[in-house]
Amino acid sequence: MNKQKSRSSIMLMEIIVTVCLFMICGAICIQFFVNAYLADKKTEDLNSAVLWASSSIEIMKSEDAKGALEKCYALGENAGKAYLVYFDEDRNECKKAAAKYVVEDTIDEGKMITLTSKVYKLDGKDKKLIYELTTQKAVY
Amino acid sequence: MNFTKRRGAVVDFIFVLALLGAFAVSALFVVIFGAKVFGNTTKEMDSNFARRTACFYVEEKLRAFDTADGVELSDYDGAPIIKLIQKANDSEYVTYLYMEEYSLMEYTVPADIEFKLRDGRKIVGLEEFEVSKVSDNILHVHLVDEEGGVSDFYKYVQCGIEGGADE
Repeated sequence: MNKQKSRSSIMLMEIIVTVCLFMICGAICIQFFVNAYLADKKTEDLNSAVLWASSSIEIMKSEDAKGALEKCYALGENAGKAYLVYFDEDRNECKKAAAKYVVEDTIDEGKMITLTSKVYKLDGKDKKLIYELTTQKAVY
Repeated sequence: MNFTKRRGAVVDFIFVLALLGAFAVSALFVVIFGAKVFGNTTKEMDSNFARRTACFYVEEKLRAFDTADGVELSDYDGAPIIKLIQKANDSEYVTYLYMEEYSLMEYTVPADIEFKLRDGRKIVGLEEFEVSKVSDNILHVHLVDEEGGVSDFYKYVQCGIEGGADE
């Protein structure tokens, strides 16, 4: 009877160890998948941000930089020195209320004109910088 | 005694079988989930590649041909075409960028040779390709890749854009 009890305990231990191993492997696998998914989303954000920032810089190369920005991004708004352009989750231009991303374009006039475009991801009241592009153009 | 022993063996067998079943179901779930994540990642990678290739190809072409009378906006049966004009050895050559058969195409010929849509060389697969002039110096390009991913970008052309109506 005692011998049988001991065999059952060993078997149970064996099963517990197997289940634990499987759980560890499963957790690692799921972690890989989640990381892959997050990296994919991050890449998508970065791709869009690069395109938006380079587009803004291209627009600001115009003689009337602010006017050109207003013409290209009609839903954008002026905020002091900056011009803000909002994009929704599907990366279409939208109004502030539906925004998931914001592109902040600034023009600093000095000896040279400095054009800066910063792309942020909005998360409630917080905003996280995804990409920033700065260039200068000469004043004639 | 024998009955208890047999009952114990049956319970053990059912328990191991149930555990094996749970293992199989979980393994299947992990494989299906993994395949889905992998499929999505591949799809996104293809979409990003197509969009980025098309965007940067058009951008670089416009940058390379940004000379006086070098960039012209035209259309062929309603389809927008970017004409990039270059002079070499007293001859004029035209590079056409346009969409045909769901692909971004490029075709370079001497200016006096007739242009045919089908003669171009495929660059990358696309669903939509639209080009419009925002102002005399700014071009707006809208493209949609085969996976439905949309990209819009603006390009400043220093020397000006010929043809095409303003947006």
